[in-house]
Amino acid sequence: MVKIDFSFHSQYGTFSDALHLPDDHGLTQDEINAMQQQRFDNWVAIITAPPTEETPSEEV
Amino acid sequence: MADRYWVLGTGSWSSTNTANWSASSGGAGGASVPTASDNVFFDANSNVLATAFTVTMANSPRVCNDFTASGLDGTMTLAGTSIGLTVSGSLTFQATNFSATYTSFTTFNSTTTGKTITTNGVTLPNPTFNGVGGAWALNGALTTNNAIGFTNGTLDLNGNSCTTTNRISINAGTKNITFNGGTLFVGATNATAFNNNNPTNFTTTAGTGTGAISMTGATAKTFVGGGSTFNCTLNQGGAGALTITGSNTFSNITNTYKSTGATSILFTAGTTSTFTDWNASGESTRLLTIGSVTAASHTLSKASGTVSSDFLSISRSTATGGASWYAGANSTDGGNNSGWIFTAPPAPTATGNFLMFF
Repeated sequence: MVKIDFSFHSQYGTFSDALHLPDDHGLTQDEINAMQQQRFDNWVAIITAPPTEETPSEEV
Repeated sequence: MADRYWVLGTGSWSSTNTANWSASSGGAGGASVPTASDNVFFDANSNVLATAFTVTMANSPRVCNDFTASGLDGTMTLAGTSIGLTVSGSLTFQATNFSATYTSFTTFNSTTTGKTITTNGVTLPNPTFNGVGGAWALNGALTTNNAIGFTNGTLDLNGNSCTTTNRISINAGTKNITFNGGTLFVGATNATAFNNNNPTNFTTTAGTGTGAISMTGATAKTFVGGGSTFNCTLNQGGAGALTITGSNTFSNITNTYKSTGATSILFTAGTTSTFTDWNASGESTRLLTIGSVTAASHTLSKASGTVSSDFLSISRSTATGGASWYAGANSTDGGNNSGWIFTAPPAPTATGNFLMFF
């Protein structure tokens, strides 16, 4: 397994994540870049979405 | 400790159903239901052909040691209504063909160190950390739409982002957040967005690099500091006014939202906030307001050095501690301030020893 760390800077702060790929993944750098961009885009979509209702449950 | 492999696709992960558990990948069902000391695996042999399947957790929270979803060739949904997952070891989700939709807690309860959490971009339901002496390191970003609870043990961000669109709850217990350059993003917009209402035995560790807590909420949110020391940067990362309660200590304070718009950081009157560094500024047309929540003053303290800020609108703020607090030439004195100098700091002077020969 190959771990590829990456970061994106944004107005919310720095987003840092990692891709975990098989040793023989065969992906090009462009494809890896696209996967990283997708992770960042997903993250931005999540944190800019309207706040969700809190789960009514025990103290967490 | 045994290994248990899910087989035969859709089924119930209950306290009694053994049909879907095998002692080997793709083997015969009928193995015992995993206990908290058993590792569970969901892989390419967990389904029938490559079809989608749902594993529905039932009864009390389902337990395991390591949880590994890897190699799945059909979409797996880990479901459960008001049923959670308790992981005593490490957790690994697969980046594709996997989702977790159960609606209760993901509890990490290890009492030993060396555990890892690898979510590979999959949203994790209701993470809570509650293992005395346990330690978990993120092996990539962690994102949840639920609150994150810290009760016992150490969560090491390990340089990664840990994001909740909800809130952070610091509960009674011995708990630590280690940053190692990672950032904790908090999206809640309420009076307990970051809620350190149990500061006893709560510590933070900077580790390697600069860690941060970024409050990203687009409307008003509160950082309940509990009087603790935060060995990290506190960042205003959203439009909503950030209120800080308690007399806390921070390594630094910043405002990354300045690139987008004006915003505020408000302190509770009568509190003293101590900083090693202060890097909170606004930008032209996007002022950062520094003030108190009520009509009385707060105190900001920095022991030494020079604060070099700009584009602030400051009121009811006492700046002290030994540092020189330069608000900047473009900042506004809103009144009832003390210690702030409303000019740019003096230009740096050359230092060093020069020998001049004539």
